Amino acid sequence: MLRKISLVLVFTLIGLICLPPGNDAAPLKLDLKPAEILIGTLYNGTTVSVTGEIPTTSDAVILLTGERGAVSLKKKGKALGLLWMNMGKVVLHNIPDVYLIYSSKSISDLSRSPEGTQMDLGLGFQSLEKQVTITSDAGEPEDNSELFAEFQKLKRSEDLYVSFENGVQFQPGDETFKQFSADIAIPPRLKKGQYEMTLFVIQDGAVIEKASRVLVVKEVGFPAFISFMAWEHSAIYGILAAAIAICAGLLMGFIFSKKVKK
Amino acid sequence: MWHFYLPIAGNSVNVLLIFGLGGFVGLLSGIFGVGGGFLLTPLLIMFGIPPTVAAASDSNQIVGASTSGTVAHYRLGNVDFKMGILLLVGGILGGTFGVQIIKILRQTGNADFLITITYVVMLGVIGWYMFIESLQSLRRKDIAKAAPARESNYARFMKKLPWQTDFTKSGIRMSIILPLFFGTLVGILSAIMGVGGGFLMVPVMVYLLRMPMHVVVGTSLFQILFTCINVTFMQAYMNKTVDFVLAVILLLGSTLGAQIGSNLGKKLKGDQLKILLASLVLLVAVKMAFDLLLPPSIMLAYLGGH
Repeated sequence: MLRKISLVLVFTLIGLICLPPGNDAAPLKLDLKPAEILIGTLYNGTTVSVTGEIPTTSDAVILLTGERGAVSLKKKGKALGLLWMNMGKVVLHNIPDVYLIYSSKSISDLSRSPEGTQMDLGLGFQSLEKQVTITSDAGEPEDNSELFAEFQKLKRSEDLYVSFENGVQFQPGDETFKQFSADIAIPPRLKKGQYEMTLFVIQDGAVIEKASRVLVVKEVGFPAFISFMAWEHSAIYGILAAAIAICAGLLMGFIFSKKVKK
Repeated sequence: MWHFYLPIAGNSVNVLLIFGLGGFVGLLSGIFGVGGGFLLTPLLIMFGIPPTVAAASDSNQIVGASTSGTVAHYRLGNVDFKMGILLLVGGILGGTFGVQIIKILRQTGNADFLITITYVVMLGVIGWYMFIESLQSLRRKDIAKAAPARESNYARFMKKLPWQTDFTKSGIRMSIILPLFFGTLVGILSAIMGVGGGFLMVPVMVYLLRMPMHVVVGTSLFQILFTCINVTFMQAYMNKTVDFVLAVILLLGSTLGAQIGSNLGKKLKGDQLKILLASLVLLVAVKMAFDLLLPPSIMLAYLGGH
């Protein structure tokens, strides 16, 4: 009898483990196309198409960002109360090189709770500003909001800091799920490296779920060869760069001397 | 379409635009004997190239343009190799010394301020002096030129110096101390200001070494060629800032431009060349002065460059 009971228990347990997970535990669908960006000779930025599924009642925010670090910049200021020039350096700490945020509504709309209170989703540039500290070269604190606004301008001019409020589109779904898609414009300035594309599912002013995929950006072919030479064989690279320039100059001189003679 | 990726600059550029820029700067280089860095580097920064990469890759393309220009001027008999080598030796000494001075300046703080002011004032003064002087000599071209008293004092001083030698291509005789001294001076200044120094060297050769304008252009290009080979190698080796793809696109344009420029320059008189170069230098000085007076659109900038 005891043996029968224990067998039933074991099978029940195995059955429970093998059962497909319920809807709540289903991993979010998130696909990147392409999942790898190859920088070739004619590369001029690209588009990554992000698709997936989220609960019908929620909204989506897609964020492409990378590792955070410190960046030193020259600060412009007035010398002698008249001339604008570089007046020392500032260091921005805990700052990402890229921050592309695409959402189905504006971040301020999404972060509003049903009661109308503004919540902090930890997303968007206002939130990023709070996560960043700015100091002088010597480590003394600087005016965060003013300098962060200037930094944003600099990054926006390079298309590396972008927010797109209606950047996520939905297709009609069923009662539980709807499909979304977003075309993320990758600027040519995005350096080679590893980045993270994250989907945030937002409901009632809160992030209820998130999922991430890795986006790899790498050089191939000629750009990869040039980078390899420049970094790994810099002396040969320097000599070759000068020598090829001299040859090009001599060649052009030779072509023109023929023309002159003719 | 028509975009090339620059692996060291980390950005892509329109090939036709960069080729055109190279062609334009090469043309100026062939006509006036300047490297054109003072024009090209800010333009490259404007088109999204990081400042350090813009300056280093520009040096690389100047190697091509000045080779092309030197060859063209050599054919026209406009290169004084003896003078060029002496200026070059001085330039290398001065450059090495200037790098040390800049280190000391940076430690004292206000280096950027001093450098920018010196640069603008120098461009303004040289441009203005050349402009007025060549305008006057263009006006009195038929009247025999009487040398001012100050200049004859200088001429007497030049004759008193030891180690006098003939510079046959330039048709002058002077002490080897003078080109060495002025080469060093220009080397120091260009190292401090972070420029090639062509716009300084040309007036020095014209007014202080009294070389004929056409020989000045050819000899200046010869001298710039070697300075830029050194800079290209050092930047590639020490800082890894030379973007060869960018340099090649630029130099395809600039080597062509230098040939055309050299042939165009041949058709102009010395004073006409001087007044055109003076106008160019003045234009850059005015542009820089405006940049200093008008508030910048973005208050932060990447390190490197001016």
